[in-house]
Amino acid sequence: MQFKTSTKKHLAVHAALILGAVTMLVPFLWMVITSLKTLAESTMVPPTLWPETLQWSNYADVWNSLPFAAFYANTFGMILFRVIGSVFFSATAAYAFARIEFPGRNVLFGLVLVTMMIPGQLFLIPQYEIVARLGAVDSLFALVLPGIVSAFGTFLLRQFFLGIPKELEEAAVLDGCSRWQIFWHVMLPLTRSGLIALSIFTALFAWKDLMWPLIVNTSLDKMPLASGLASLQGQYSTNFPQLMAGSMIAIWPMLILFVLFQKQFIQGVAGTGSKN
Amino acid sequence: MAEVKLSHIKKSYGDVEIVKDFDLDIRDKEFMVFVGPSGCGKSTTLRMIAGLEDITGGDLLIGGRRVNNVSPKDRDIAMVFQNYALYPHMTVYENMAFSLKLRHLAKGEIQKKVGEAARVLQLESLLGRKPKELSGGQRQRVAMGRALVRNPSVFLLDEPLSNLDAKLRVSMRTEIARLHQRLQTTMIYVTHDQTEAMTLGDRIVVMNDGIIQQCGTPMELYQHPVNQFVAGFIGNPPMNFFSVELMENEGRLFASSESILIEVPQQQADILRAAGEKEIVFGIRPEAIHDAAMLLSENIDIAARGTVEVVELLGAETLLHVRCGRELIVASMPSGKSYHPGDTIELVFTTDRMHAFRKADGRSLLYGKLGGAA
Ligand SMILES: Nc1ncnc2c1ncn2[C@@H]1O[C@H](COP(=O)(O)OP(=O)(O)OP(=O)(O)O)[C@@H](O)[C@H]1O
Ligand SMILES: [Mg+2]
Repeated sequence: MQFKTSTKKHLAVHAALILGAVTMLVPFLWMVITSLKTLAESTMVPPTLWPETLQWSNYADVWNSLPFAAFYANTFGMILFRVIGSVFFSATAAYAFARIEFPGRNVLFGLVLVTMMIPGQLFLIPQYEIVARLGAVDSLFALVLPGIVSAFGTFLLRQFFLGIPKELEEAAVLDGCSRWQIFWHVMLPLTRSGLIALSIFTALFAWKDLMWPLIVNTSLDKMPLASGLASLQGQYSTNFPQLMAGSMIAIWPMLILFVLFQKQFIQGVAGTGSKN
Repeated sequence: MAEVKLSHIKKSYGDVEIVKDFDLDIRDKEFMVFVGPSGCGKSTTLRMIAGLEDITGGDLLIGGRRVNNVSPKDRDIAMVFQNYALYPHMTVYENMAFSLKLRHLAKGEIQKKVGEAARVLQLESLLGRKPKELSGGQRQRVAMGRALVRNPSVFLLDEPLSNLDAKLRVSMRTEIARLHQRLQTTMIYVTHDQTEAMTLGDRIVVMNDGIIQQCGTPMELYQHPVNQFVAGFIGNPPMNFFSVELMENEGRLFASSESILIEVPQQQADILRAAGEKEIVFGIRPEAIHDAAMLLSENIDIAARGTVEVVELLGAETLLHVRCGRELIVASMPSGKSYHPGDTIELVFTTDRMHAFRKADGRSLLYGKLGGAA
């Protein structure tokens, strides 16, 4: 009896999970299928479930029509520098806010928090003006710049630092550490999961940043993947199969990264950080 | 060579004075214990010596050098924290080697020093483990090892045993005593446990409210407490105190309350007469109270009569809580005779071992500055 009810329960749970997985997968599968259709078939009503003939040429066409090598390079450059920048600046700022007493500390931290409460779009124009006056419009530098600091990261890592017992720092002081050595040898290693979580968030956010690159950069070969693909979306018509094929080409590096870092990724998002 | 001299040390947080005029000379190689109730400023004083806390006033000298403004790492001290404060991300070896690495010692030398400390503390088989894979006692030893490898001239220990269970605490206590024998360095040890203080200390400082109450060897504190606080704090079970009135009768001095009557011995009587107090607090340790029925001598003065309320069997001795009128007297009896709650009992005091305190401020009338003997 016991066995039976638990099997039933398992079945129910699995059914629910399978339903969820399918729901999440359908749009993705639809993208794969559409990428192999002709333009005409892709807009047919009612839609066909399977392409009549597999149009592999969509992939070749989109690859040839867009500078994908530049897209990849821009995307990875943007992700790399933003991750390095935001981790470095957030960690140092967070440590100061968490552990160093200085006048105006709480007010300053309040100001950092306030920037999180303002919709990001409001910053687009001032940020553009800053970049423009630096004479850096239409460059990799312009893509990276606003993303190298993070109020969220500062807030997140401050929480991690606050969770580290003060005695550890005092022990380090007695062991002969300077402030910087405490930060480097004791505090950073103990916030590893926080740093990983922040890196993942920053990378994800940079990956899907569409608006900022479109605003600040104009040349196609200065675009990252997301914004570059957007150029396939014409004002009057869109070649859906090519857009989907482009998306397929764009997506695989992220998929590989996800598979490689799956564990950290899920931990980071679940936020079970502080236990080392 | 590292004597530690605290000269009129003060500590305030804002307007609140936490440590008041702390004046103490700690000798080279001495095992000094700070003991006192929670919140009395023991840790604060220790942390000022370590350099983790600023000194508000006074001078701190280590090895003859004024170190008030010397950074902790240059004071030639090492500290063991109550919760060990081991670096969780480093192995036992790395924890112990960390301070040596920061000093840029050669790798071979680091290995030699860590190896030696590990041998002394029996940590050799654990060097590759992380702190979370150790038991409490092992962590404690790693914390000691981390201090040991630096070969400091002063060891500071802040309640190092309070996170251990009772049995382990006793064995680690012995280990610390042995370590002190072996290292021959100055140690300053903070605890709120008077047993630890008595068993470990060459000398003990009893603190209360940020003030040194008394400093002396364990026996001095036990036999000649200078005030009621020290008398009540040192010794287990604690001393009995009664409010008594002093009365002259035919050239003899008696101390009496509703339920107690004692003749004050001649030597003490002279001092008390000179002090001129009428009402005092009389103190007597449980060990100095006896059952009249167990004494052979004919000529005994019964100090109090009462009823046994609680019997505590401790093995070698039996503690009796005896109700005598309004007073509850704790007496320690050698085991042998068995007692039961409800028994009536006559108590005899070894009056030579009596203590007398001034009612107004609890100062001893017999010992210390007020009395004759030191
Ligand atoms: N940063 C601080 N600001 C204000 N008061 C403090 C601060 N640190 C400690 N105190 C106060 O100083 C007093 C002494 O603290 P301390 O830690 O020295 O006590 P302790 O004798 O070590 O007690 P325990 O046995 O509980 O460890 C306490 O009353 C505490 O509240
Ligand atoms: Mg303390």
